[in-house]
Amino acid sequence: MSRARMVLIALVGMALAAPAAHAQFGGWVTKGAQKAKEVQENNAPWTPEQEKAIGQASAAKMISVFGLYEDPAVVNYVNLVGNTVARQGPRDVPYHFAILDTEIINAFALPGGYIFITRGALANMKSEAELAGTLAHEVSHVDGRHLEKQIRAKKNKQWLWKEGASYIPGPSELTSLAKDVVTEALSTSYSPASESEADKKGTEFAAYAGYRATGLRDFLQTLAQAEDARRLGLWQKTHPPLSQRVGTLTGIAKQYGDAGQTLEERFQQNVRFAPEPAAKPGGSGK
Amino acid sequence: MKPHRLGMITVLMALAVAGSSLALPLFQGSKTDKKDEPKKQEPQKTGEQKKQEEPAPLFEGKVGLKSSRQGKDSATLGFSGVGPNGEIEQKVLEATPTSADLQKANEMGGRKVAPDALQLFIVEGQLNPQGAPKSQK
Repeated sequence: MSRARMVLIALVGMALAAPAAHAQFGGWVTKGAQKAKEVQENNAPWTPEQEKAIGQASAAKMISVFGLYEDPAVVNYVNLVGNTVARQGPRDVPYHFAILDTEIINAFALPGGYIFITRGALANMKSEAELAGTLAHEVSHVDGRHLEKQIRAKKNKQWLWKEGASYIPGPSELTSLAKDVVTEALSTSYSPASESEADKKGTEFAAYAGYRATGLRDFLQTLAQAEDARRLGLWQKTHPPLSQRVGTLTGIAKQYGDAGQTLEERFQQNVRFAPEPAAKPGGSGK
Repeated sequence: MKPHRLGMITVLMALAVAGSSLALPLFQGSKTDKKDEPKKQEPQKTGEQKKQEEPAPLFEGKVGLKSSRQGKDSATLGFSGVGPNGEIEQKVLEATPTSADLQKANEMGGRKVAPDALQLFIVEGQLNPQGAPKSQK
């Protein structure tokens, strides 16, 4: 067989096989392209509008779980400290701080800059630097979009990647998504990498704001000395071991030296809990 | 090289190229499938192993935590919806926020610290009046 004839046979064979191959594999290629597009959109950060809508709905859900402590003086003070450290974060997010009316010790960061600290946590802090360090840690979670990334990675809600970046979900979708966000915040821990980043950046934000860098470390040190399953159970479930973090934070804080304010007195003056009003019969306790 | 051998090589190469182009989507498909599979969990470490890996505790002894409540009910007040081990009760997680909760979240989102008040607070505390440059990301 001549060379030219063999080449001709091969080309004819390929030409005959091509339509069949396209029919067989063309669908897969199209599906693959769609999947790639969905994954790409799924990995895109929420827009400021989406983040705000989801954050606010999630804040409402968090408030429904614990209730708010609404003493205006204490709330204002927490907002002043929070905004002092939040100014050191690079991402342009409007931050809002509130106090959850619960004795458990914790702090939560929701998308859109909604940050909560519990009154149980405030009751066990000794200085403004401890509060600043704790809030700065939460600011770092928002700055790094840590919770948002966890929710997006789970892909259990499809609206964003189906509808595109400009889509703002309706009330019922937001309620459902907010439940997912808050359940995630209250039952799952951040990845060790996210916690480590928040410890590092949070300490940096607090130190740059002018607070002593050991604030968060000092607060965690108090918690590490305590045994109280009810107050600390959720913290222990959603954070790395306290003793481990105290060690890590001691190392991080060292690079900032002993400079910075602790402001114990200002903290004691501002964080005072009013006595409980007399219990009403049939009250919910919230 | 003899002409017929050259022809055979050309045919084989053409078939190889055609085969690889058909095989590519299949291969990519299997890669995507693998990506979708949940990551394999690391084997569960025993409590004893975990203890050994953690740094030695820096403290001895335990202290009690403070309550933010005053009075004889302080041991029970403020734990609404919280179980004995700090877990949040399922019924609380399942509950839909009320219009009052939505209103409070709305107020929280609308609350702004006045720039003057913040500056005064910073100056009084001898803190850093400079903030970091902001970026959209």
